[in-house]
Amino acid sequence: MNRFTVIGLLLLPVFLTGCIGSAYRAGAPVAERDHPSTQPLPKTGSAHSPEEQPLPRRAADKQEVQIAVYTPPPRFKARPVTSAAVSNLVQKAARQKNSGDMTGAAATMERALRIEPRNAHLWNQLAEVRLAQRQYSQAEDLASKSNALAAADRDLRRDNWLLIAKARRSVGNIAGATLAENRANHSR
Amino acid sequence: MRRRSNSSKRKKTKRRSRKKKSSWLRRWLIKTSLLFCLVIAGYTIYLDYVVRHEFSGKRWAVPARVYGRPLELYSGATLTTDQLLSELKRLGYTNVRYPRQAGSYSRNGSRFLVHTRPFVFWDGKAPGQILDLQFSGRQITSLKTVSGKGVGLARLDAPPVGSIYPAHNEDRVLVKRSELPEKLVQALIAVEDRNFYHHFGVDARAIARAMWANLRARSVVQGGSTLTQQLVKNFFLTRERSLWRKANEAVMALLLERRYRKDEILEAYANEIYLGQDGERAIHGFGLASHFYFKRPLHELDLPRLALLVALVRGPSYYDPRRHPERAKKRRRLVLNIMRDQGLITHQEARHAAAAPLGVTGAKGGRTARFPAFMDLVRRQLHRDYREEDLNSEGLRIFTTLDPWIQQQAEKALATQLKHLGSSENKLESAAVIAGSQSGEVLAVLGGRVPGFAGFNRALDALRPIGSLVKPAVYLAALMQPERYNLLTPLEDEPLSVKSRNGDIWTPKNYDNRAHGIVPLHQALARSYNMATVRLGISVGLDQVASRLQDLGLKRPVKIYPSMLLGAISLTPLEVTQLYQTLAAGGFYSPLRAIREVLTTEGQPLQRYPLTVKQALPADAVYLVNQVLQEVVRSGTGRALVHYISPQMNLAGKTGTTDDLRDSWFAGFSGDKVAVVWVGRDDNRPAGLSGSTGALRVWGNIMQRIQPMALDLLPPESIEVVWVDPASGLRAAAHCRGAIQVPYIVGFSPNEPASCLSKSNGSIFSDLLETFWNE
Repeated sequence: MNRFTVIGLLLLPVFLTGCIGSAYRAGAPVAERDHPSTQPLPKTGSAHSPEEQPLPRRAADKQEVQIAVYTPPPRFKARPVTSAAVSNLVQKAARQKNSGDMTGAAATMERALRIEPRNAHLWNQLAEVRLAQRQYSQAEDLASKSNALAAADRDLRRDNWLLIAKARRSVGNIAGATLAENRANHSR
Repeated sequence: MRRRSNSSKRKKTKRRSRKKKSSWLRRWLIKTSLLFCLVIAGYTIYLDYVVRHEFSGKRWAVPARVYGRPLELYSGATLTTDQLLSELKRLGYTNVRYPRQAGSYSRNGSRFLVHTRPFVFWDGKAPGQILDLQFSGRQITSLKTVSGKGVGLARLDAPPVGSIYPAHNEDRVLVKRSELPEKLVQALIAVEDRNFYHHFGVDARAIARAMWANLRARSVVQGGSTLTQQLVKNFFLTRERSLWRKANEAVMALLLERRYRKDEILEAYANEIYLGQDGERAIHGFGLASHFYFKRPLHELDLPRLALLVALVRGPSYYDPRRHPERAKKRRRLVLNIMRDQGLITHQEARHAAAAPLGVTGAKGGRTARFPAFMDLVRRQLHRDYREEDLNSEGLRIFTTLDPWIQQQAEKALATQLKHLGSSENKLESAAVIAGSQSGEVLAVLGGRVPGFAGFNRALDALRPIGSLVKPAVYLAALMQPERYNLLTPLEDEPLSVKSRNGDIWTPKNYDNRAHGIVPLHQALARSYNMATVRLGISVGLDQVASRLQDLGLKRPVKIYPSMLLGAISLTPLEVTQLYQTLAAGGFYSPLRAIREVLTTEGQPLQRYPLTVKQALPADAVYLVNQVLQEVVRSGTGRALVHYISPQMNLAGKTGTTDDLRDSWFAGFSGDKVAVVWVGRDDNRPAGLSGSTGALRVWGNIMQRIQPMALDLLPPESIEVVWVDPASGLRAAAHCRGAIQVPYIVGFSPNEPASCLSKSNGSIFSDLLETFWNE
């Protein structure tokens, strides 16, 4: 048992109270949930759930520790676990995207999704293509779909929320964009 | 004398009158011949118009060609050798010792060398290459080129699954002059029209030669028609044998030659010539005939096959190689001998080719009627964007989502199960739809129990009450009110009477005619309790349930009355598939699509039907419902699936049965596929089957065959799983006896500690900590 785990365990009740305390806030906008909205309002409470709260482990490893209210953990660039087949297609889509062939890039991502339909990264990249094509509402839904399959991949969730924020801002939904940005920050 | 003079007088007058007559006759002759010339000229102009019209118009009437999904090959792909073999067979690949030619393969145990064909896909032309595939179990374990270079991903050419041709049932695979194999052209000219490049449409010497031959044989053994004349004959397709028609033909042939170059005529001939019959479908042109007889493109044919096609020109039904192989062989030998005599091939080549088998495939290739139910869906989706004329004449290439292998497996499953089910009477019918659960791509459609029968398409057109298949929408509506309902909420399964607007009293009963008292919500759905569901639906609100159905993708207006809670809504299997696809995709609606993309005949992209998603329902409530649908299969009304599929697959599903066992439904999904099966009778009389004794078995058999992905439901962020004491519904911990883990929407899990927690330190947090230490 190392000391980080002890710290973690000591902190756990705190997080849990936070979770439960905030949970009631989450329940407040029930009315919105009943609307079959294409732009689901993020539930602010759930961002505080235990698995979302980063433990300040890595910060302690550093030799010089700057005093900060919150030190985010180092970010690992998400490396999706994909087959060689899919990474081939992802590369191809990136090339198509760079050369401005958005329709081609979308078709290639769809082909990748046929091989790995539950790969959250692929949904995210398709969302990126749609965003670049200014299909904002589709980009947002695709990013939400990616989130639904992202499981514990926080970096990906953050990417998706930022993408959603961009899409919302582009159609003038500033309030929605701000909400999404908040979610992105909570996903760190 | 008098007589004489009289006679001379008479003679004179006669002469005079003769003179008169002859001048009159001459004038009359001139007039009539002028008129005749005018008529002839007019008629010729008319014929010229007809020829031009036919030639430029009909030449391009090429039906749209429809393809299934191309098979993707990559290391790690789930694919059996049987599956690969069936695809290669579908594509007409030949098994050889070494695949030197495109469209062939060789096999050594679990290793395959496949020489793929070049193929124009949506995203460009893929070159042909020799792939080296290694299988192990149900997987491709390695994929490289024959030279040993690793290949990340490759695909076989897309399987042709049908074509959309006009009402007069002419089908065609257009070939250009440059695509015609030289041997074919040489053989054709040698056998049918030796002077083709030198005559003006009619060949007098050939006619004389043919007449002489026919006279000697005292029957018609030889025709003197040039290729041009034959082309004209084919344009007008009359079986009439008269001099008038012959004369017409000759004039038109001359006109055609004046207007068009020899190569244009040859190209038209190669695409127009009648070469066989497939039921109602006429086989025109060498391109289609090659697919029809040999299941492969024209340019892949070897000498004996090319010679057979030329042999067929003289009489496709008399020399039909499937029905009269001996006649066909004899005629082919004649073709080969002529080629040899003309010096087109060597003696040895002729001998080898004459000894070769005919090489026709058993099943007729390029048939359109193979997947009529799916084609029906394709046609309906295309008609939103294309005119009928464009579809049957522009030669469009349509890439669909059909997976012919899954379609075949589903057909087999249906046939097997229905044989068991409908032993007493053969009136039992069925329909099924299978789609990709995340993409909404339709993979297979079964319109009835007889595959390939283009009759009533039940999958698209049979409107039947859906029974308990509607229940997930009721529970979804409830679970979207998390302050009122969760999976453990107690529901009352007791008799009730509901008064409808018109005053009728409705008394729903359970399938087993029993009341089950107080039951937890998840159990009421998993066991499909009617009374509990009706009570729940009424308290949630009928309008709420109807809205959830619309969110799930129902486009049809729903009549709001209590009996809809038990599925008194009539839907088609395709519509039900849409509802369950949205569930399977975690609340994300994707319209079911049968078409991916449309290309022009030259391979230029025309239109794409992209994958779209719309978050239609909250992921958490859908997750909870799907958890219960897994319970349906694990321990509820769908548990008989254990006979077909391992419980470890965690499949989700729902049975549906309607009054007096008229309709038997099963709808459900795996990690990658959603499928819906209906079994019942067309005359709507009781079929004697419930959802679990009828449709479930077909569904199970289908899933067993197509090896779906396990269903591993991912909890959304807003779901937490907590230990609960099931009896009290209070918060518990892992060490509490009988405690179970239950998912809740965050913020709505129970806080009140169960007795087992209050016994210790009194804090649930210390208890949670304790469980941590124990781990």
